[in-house]
Amino acid sequence: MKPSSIVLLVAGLLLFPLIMTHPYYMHLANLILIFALTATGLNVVTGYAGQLSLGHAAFSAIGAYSSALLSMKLGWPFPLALVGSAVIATGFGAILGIPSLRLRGPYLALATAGFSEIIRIIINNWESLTQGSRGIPEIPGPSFLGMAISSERAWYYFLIGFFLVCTLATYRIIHSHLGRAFIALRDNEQAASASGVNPFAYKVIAFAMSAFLSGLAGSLYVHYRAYISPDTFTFAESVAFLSMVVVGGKGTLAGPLVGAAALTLVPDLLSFMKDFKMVFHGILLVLCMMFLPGGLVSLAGTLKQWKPGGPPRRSNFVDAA
Amino acid sequence: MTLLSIEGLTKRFGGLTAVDRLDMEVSEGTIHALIGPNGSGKTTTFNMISSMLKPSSGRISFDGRNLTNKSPDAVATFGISRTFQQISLFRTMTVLQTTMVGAHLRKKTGLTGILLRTRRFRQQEIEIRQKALESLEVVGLAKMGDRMATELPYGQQRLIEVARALAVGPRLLLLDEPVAGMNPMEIEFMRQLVLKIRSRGVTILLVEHNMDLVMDISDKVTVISSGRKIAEGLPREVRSAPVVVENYLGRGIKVA
Repeated sequence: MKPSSIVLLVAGLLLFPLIMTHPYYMHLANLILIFALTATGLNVVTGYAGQLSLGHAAFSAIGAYSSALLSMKLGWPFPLALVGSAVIATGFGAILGIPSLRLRGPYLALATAGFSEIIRIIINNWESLTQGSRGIPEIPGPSFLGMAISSERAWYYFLIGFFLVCTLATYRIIHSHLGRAFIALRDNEQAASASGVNPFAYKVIAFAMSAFLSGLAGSLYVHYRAYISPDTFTFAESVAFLSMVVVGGKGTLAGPLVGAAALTLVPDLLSFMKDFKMVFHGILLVLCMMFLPGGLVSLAGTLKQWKPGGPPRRSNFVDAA
Repeated sequence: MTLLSIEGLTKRFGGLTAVDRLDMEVSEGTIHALIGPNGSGKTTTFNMISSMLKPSSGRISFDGRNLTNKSPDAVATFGISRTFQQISLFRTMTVLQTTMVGAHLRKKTGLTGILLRTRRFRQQEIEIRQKALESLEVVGLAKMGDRMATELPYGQQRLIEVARALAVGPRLLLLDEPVAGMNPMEIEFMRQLVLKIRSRGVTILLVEHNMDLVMDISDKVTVISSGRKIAEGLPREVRSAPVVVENYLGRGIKVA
C-alpha cells in the first residue's frame, strides 16, 4: 500500500465516530476491532507461518480470564492486567507450538482444536477460580491517564490506537528476517531449513506471538463487555476467527480487519432475512472462497487489472496453508 | 586438506540398504562428483550430509567436527548449503527475498530490534540484502531481483537455488543434479558458474548424470552402485575403470 492511502485509511478510521454517531454502530465497530486483533494474531501463525490453528479462541479465553482474575482477585490495575494476561497467553502459545514440529496441516489443526476444548473444559470446571458456567460479571473497565473509558466512542479510540500499534508491530515483524523465516517455512520447510532457518524455533515463536495478540484481544474484550463465561470463546469462535483471516485475505496485513468487518457486518445486514440469515451467510462464505481464494483484499488488485487496455489479468494471490 | 569426511555411512529403509558403509573424503577447494546409476543412493547420501535424513550408522564430519545427527539448520551454520534436485523455491517470494532467506544466518537482532527498527537491525537488513544481491550477481540474476521466483524459466529457477545456497556463505556447496533438464547453453553457463564458485574458495560436492560435465570439471569422482562405492579417482581413471563401465557407463557408449 502507498503511504498516501495509509494516511487516508487512518484518517477515515479516526473520523468514523463523527459520522457514525449511533451507539449501536459504534458498538459493532468496537467488536470488529477486537475480533480483528484476534484475527491478526491468528494471521501471524496461519497466514504467514502456514500453521493451521483451529483453537485460537482458547488464547482469547486465556487472555480474557487471566485479565478478569488479575484485576478482580489481585486488584491489578488495567494496564498491568492487560500485559500480564497477554504474557500468560503467550506462554500457552509457545506450549501449543511444540507439537507443530511433528504435526502438519489437518493433524495440527485437530491438535489445536483439542487444546482449545481442554482450556474450555478447565475453565468450566475450575469453579473456585473461574466461577464455572456462571461466568464472571462486573469486570471493571479501564481508565487511561486518569480518565475512565466507558462510552462507546472512548472505547473506539482506545481500541483503534491499540489495533494500529499492533498492526504496525506485525508489519515490522513480517518485514524482517523473522517474517521471511515464517513465510519461507510456509512455502517450503525443507528449503528454509537448508538455509539455516530452524523450523522448530520459528514455529514456536510464531505461535507465541500469535497467542500474545489474541490474548491481548481477549483481555480487551473482557474489560469492554464486563462479562466473561466459558461460552464466550468456543470452537465456533475459533472457526469464525479463521474465517475472518481467510475471507479477508490470509497472509496480508489488512486481511484480518477486512475479514472481521465482513463477518460481523454481513450477519447484521442480513438480519431482515430472519431464519434464513445464517443460510445466506454460509452461501456468501462459500462463494467468497470459490471466487476470491485470496480473500476480499485481493479484490483491490483484481479491479485494478480489469482496466481496459491494462495489463492482462493474472492471479497473484498470496496463498497459504 | 580433508574438508568433509564420511566413514561407514549406512542408510537402511526397512529391508533396503540404500547406502552401504560408504567411505568418502572431500578435499578442500575441489570439485568432487558423486555419480552412479539411478537409485544408487546419491541423493540419499546428500540428504544425510545435509541432515535431511538420519544415517542408520556411520559418521560424517566437517572440518574435524562431528556433523552426524545435527538438524538441517545447524548444518547450515557449519558452512554447508545445498540445492535440491526438485526445484524448491518459495512460491510467494521474489528472487531477492528468496535469496535473502539464504542469508538468514547473518541476523544480529531479536524482537526488540525488529519492533524498534534499531540501527543494528537496519544495518543487519542492509547486510543481508547486500549478501543476497552479491550472490545473485554471481549467478547472473542481479537484474531479476524483483521478479517472482516461480515466474522465471526453469533454468533460471535452478540458478536462484544456487544463489540462495551461496547466500548462506558456505565452505561446502552440495549441488544435486544442477543441470538436469537444462539445454546445452544453460549447461555451459552452469559449468562456468561452478568453476567460478570454486575459484571463490568454495568446495563443491556434485551429484550429476551429465557425464560430459562431470568428467570435464571434477577434480575427483566417486562412483557408487547399489549404495556401495565401486570406484574413486581422477575423472580419466574412473571413466576407463572396467567396474564403472560395467555398472554405470555401459559398454559401447563413448564418453567425450
